[in-house]
Amino acid sequence: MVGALIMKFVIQIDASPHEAQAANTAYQFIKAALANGHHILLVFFYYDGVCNAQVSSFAGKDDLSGRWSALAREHGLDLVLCVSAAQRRGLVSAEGKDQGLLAPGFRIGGLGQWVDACLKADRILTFTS
Amino acid sequence: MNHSKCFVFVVRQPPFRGDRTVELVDQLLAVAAFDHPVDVLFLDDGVWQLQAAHVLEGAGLRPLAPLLRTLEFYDVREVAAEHESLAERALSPDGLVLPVRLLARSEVPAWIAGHDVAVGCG
Repeated sequence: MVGALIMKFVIQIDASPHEAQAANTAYQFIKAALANGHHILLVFFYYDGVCNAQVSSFAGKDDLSGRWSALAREHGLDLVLCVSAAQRRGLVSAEGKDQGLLAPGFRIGGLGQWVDACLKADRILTFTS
Repeated sequence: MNHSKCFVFVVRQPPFRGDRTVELVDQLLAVAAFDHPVDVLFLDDGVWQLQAAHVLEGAGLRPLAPLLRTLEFYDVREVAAEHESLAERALSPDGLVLPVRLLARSEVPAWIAGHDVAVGCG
């Protein structure tokens, strides 16, 4: 890593884990970035991407929400769901409260946090379907 | 202190994908509300968003363009569309629901590169 350029990333995930490879690709990218010493300022889940936070009834090795939780715990990642996108998909209540559907490590936030993180980041990457 | 960044949203989705259009506008407005310059580029199937609104509304779809008409009040700086994307779909620049800057396909990479942040909405 001598002389390597360390970057600060913001990651936006727009796809659910069930519809496309995008969320899993984002997960793999983040793991690789962290392993190479880069910083992940924010992982922001938007559009159908908020479904990544939903606890799976059939938790197994393909349960991406569990892997997100583990990655957040291990590296202190900030996993933020957009509250309005989560409301539209029934993941949080009309008041924006967690209804017990969210995996550990995810928190509810808003677009303001995404904008703020973008201003501090060197790169913003969007993973979409 | 954070300096201002210039954002471009690249719209490649047709208006047939649920709430994505509304959520795109929410994100645009969030950036504009923080006083950062915002441009929008319609590309590929995204140019269908610029189709005459009544066609979309008749199909029970919510088009983006009427919402975009309000964005000048939020300092959305420029709305652009790729000329070839329109031509490939037999859409005339004269028949769109709002005036756009036409960019040739060869101009698009340099135009996007003129921004600090490009957000893909595919």
